[in-house]
Amino acid sequence: MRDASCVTHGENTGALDGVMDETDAAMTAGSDPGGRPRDPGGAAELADAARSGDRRAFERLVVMYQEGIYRMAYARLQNVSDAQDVVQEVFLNAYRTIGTLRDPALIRAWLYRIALNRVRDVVRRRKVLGFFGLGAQTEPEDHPHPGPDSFDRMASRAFWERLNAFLEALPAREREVFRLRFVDELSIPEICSVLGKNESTVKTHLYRAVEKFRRTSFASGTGGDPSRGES
Amino acid sequence: MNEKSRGHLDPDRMAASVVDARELTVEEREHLEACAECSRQRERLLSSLGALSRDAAGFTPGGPKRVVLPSEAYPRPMARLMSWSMGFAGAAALVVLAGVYLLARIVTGPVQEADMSRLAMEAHQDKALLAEVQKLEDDPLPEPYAGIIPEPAGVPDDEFFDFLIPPDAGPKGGKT
Repeated sequence: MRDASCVTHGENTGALDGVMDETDAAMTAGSDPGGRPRDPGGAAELADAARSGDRRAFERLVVMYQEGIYRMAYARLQNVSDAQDVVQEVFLNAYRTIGTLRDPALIRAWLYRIALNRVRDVVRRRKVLGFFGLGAQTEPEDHPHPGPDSFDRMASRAFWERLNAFLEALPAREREVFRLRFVDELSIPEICSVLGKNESTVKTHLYRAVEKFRRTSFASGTGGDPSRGES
Repeated sequence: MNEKSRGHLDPDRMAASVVDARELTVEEREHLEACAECSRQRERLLSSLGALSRDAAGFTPGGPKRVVLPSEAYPRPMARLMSWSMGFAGAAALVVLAGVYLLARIVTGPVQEADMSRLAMEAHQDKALLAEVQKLEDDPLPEPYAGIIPEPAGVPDDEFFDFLIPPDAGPKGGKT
């Protein structure tokens, strides 16, 4: 490990520049090749304006990120209604506290951090309701798919079941880091910011999770049980 | 280049190349560029990982509802400054009140000592009164009536003696 902090890498990578470009093009939709969060649509400027009281700028941030945060919440809660509630709460909370955002460039990580906390609240609430036998209304759904085709529904169910089986087999830290990186497409610095961990810790968890992923049917395309980690 | 770096990338290094290719050594990078097998494995792994987010997005039903923001005025920095000002003003008022209270305590200290001695005297009187009440509860008859109470139980009274020895049956004899 060369760097234990969540800072931008700026050095020349030499012979692997082409490989790195490919890596970033394939997987780091939210970051530039150096790992710095990319700024689609001038998010940093919008966040800065929103901090200064520009409501329009905040509304544009909502439009920019609500889909991603909804998908992030659904991937963890797998309940449409709960995910929609999380999106509402995240932006309501952000609207009231955006003055505390220190680095506008990390607006996406900041929003995801709020979202992750709201998701944890929902999970805790489910546990409490489940303890009292009242959890039926908030349990995960059967992965409905918007398409009319029953094949879509089956494919959706199969995907989520395989992904959940793989993720549940991972330790909690590896699971969360892997999700943020490869399902939510956050950059490593953004993950550091969301989880409050340093870069070397995040990368270590990612190495382990990716190595386990490599041995699953996701990577081999065999369709086996991903939780067993077979080749 | 050591022995290990001349061979294919091991699984850990392959994972490292996917997580952050800059973690590889120069030898590993050169090998990855030259070795078709390692390069193919890496591409396959990258493709599988990239497909995760695409599939997750595609298989996510529904979508976010329209976010409703509060209708109240946006919390502008000036408003936050005002709220800070109000907070400072409140804190200052509390400090002033606390100072006035402490000052009053210092100034009125001797008076309070006099009050304390008066309170102690009243407490002593209350205690004596309570003792008297307790005594009355134990023996409700006042002292002047103590001599006319009946004889203690077990001791025959005059009426009893009169019954045993009628007054007209005395040594003088005959009825009166």
